[in-house]
Amino acid sequence: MDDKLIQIFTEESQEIIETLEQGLLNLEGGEDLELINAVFRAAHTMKGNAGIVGFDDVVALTHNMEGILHEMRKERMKPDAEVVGLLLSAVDALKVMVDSQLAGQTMQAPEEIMSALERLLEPEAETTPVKEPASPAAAAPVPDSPGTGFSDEPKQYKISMRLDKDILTTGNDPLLLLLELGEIGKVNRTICHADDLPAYSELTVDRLYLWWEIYLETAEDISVLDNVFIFVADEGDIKIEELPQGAEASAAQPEARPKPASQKAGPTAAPEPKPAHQPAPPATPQPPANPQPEPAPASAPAPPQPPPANNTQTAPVQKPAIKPAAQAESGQPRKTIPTSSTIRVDTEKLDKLVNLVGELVIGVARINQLSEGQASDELDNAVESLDHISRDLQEQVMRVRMIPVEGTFNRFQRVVRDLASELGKKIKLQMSGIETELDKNVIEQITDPLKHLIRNSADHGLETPEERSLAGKPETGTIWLKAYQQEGKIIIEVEDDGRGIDHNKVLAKAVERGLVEPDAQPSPQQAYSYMFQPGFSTAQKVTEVSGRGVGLDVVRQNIEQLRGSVEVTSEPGAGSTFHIKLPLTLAIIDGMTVRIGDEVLTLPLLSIVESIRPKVSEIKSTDSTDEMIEVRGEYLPLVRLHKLFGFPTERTDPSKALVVIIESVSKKFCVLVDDILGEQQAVIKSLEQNYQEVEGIAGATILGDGRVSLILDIHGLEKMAFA
Amino acid sequence: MSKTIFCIDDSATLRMSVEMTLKGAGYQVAQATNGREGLDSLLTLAGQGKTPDMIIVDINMPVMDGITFIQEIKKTQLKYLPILVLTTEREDSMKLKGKKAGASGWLLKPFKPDTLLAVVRKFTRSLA
Repeated sequence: MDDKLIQIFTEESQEIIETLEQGLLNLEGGEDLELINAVFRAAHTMKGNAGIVGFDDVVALTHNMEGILHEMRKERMKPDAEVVGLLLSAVDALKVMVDSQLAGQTMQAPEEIMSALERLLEPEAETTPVKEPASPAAAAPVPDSPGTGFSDEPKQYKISMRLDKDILTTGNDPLLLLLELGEIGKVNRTICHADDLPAYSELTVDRLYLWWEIYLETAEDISVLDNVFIFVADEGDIKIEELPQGAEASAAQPEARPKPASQKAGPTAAPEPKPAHQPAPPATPQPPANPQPEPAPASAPAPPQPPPANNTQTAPVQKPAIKPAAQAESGQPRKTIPTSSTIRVDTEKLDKLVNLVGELVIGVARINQLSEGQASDELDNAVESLDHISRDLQEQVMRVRMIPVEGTFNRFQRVVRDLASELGKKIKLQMSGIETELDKNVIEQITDPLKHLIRNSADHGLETPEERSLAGKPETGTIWLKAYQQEGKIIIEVEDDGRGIDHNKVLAKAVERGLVEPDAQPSPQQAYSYMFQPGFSTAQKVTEVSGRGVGLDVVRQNIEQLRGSVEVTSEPGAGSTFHIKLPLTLAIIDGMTVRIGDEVLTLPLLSIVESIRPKVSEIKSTDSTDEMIEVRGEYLPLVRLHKLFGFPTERTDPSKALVVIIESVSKKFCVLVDDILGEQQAVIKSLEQNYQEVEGIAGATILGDGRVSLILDIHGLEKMAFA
Repeated sequence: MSKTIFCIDDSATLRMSVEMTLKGAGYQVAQATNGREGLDSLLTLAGQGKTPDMIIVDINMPVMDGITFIQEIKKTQLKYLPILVLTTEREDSMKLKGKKAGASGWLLKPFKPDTLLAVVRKFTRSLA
């Protein structure tokens, strides 16, 4: 199987599974036909895709899901909690199956899910006509009356099918036609004529030398038979005639009403019967069929062996999609799953583009610098407009990487639903700002921390329904997930209306854990920040949900790796809010450029608290390798960057140089630099891709004057200096 | 000058498999994800003198389904383009609808690459 196809299949499957999950969750209880259609289509597409890549077990499962959704579409089944629950577990199975298929292992759908789906479908299959609900004969049985053209009585047809010799090259297959006929009724006899077959030496594989005569018994009208040949009518000679009832000995109808042979379909539609061919002797071993026709749908002859892809589940008629405009006017909230027109681009290509544009901007900045000495207005204007355009270009290119948080947020609906049932709580997830866009990388990496915070809110934040009732709150707790843009940053908030966090308890715990001095008097806000320290956990007991040894410190670390920050505010009794601040993109960093000897380094602005020049008296050293700087009573370890990286410099005395105070996840420390040059936005270039990974260095950027500046990685730096 | 086939399907997997099949045989493949997008894009292309040689379209699609698409395209100057329906729909009533709307052929998914190529060759040859 082609890798590229599998890759597309995988990506699309993820999207479809998300659509299914999301759609099903929204479906529960409601009866939004548009939404049912969308979910149906997702299952349908999944089935088709799995067929293309040959994942037959996935086809089987999605086929059944599609069947149930089809019943909903026809309003023969309601999307109640039970059905939706079953479909959701089928979606889960689907995920696992696709994954294991990709890993090269065939995995069947869990038996209990398959049988549950089939059980749901079965009663329907009995009460609805097996074939073609659109057929008037099946939909509304008309008592046999002459001239209506509809009858539930079996009729005998003789079909002669002579197709053009090159029919095989047009994608038509006579075998499929024969099978289709078999689905319409009972084939009493098929005669295959091989008189045109040439000598073996002249045989060509893509030519058709055979033709057929089929004797078919069915209650369907002749037009149904005509339809089988719709696409070959012009490419062969098809004759269909209805035989008088008496012609078949098997048709022992008391009211046999001979009808004139109706003929049709082929372009040559000649009505003459062909005496050359024997008129279907009843000598076939078939027993007489339907001696007592019943005027019920059941009499529509069931296909002897319906091929798997064709029974009730096959969607007959897709209603033309309602025009979005018309729907918007109707004023009801749309739950439709939006389909935006997109093309897929490898993120690597985007990264290259971002990089190149970054270089372009820097190149322009250099030209700008060079042109300053030239005293030419024309040159200045040209450079200025170039500068303008390249910045616009950069902004647009950055925007290409941005995707809405919607997909990620929507996933949490499911998480919350599962959590609620797991914890025995009533929880509602409210989202806002789902259209807010974030860099794709950031979105991918923020998912886990967000999930953790949501679990945290559900588990620790929200009370049980009983507790809530006692507190005079609605039984159903609410978790809000909000995203918005503020001052060039993306803010994501996870808020709950639960019991809130008591900062005194947090403080007590922090003291108990030795995270803070017993006599410390922190503000509530500072107290809350202890929750993000490693080794802190306020959970009374480790629960299945938010236990797992992963604390808020990991959340904070993940977020800070994205160069973001997180803090919490809370009002005891009323709820808590986790407030995450993220950069718009990972490709650009707000940096502070500092100088050490001849080197210019860039420090991430976000990690910098302040910079000072310490007095000699504030420099304390226990021994030569362990230096501290006293900053307003606080002792902070000093990291000499020149020593750490081996950059030669003369300014090794902190009191004559500068120290920058940096705050990382776990600690505050100072780094020694010669001088601070200024702030600048830096386009990050990866060292791994261009050179190799270097500890303590996050990447490099090119300065306005063309020099390369290394960007410090605070986490790595901390490890190097204190490990 | 290679021929261009315009493939409309909401499944990226299907589009990719069509593209791989046809590109391997020297065809260009343009794509759209639903009938509405296909219609707009085809008309735009036609305006630029880049009318494709044939359309392959799915039936079950969001926004605008395949049958509506065929009906709509038949109202435009592109009505002469051969249209192959590539779908899992095998109901006669649906085929009849497709035929009535103006489809030139019907092929079931999943398709065999050779079959698709044969059909595409047939349709594009007859117009050349």
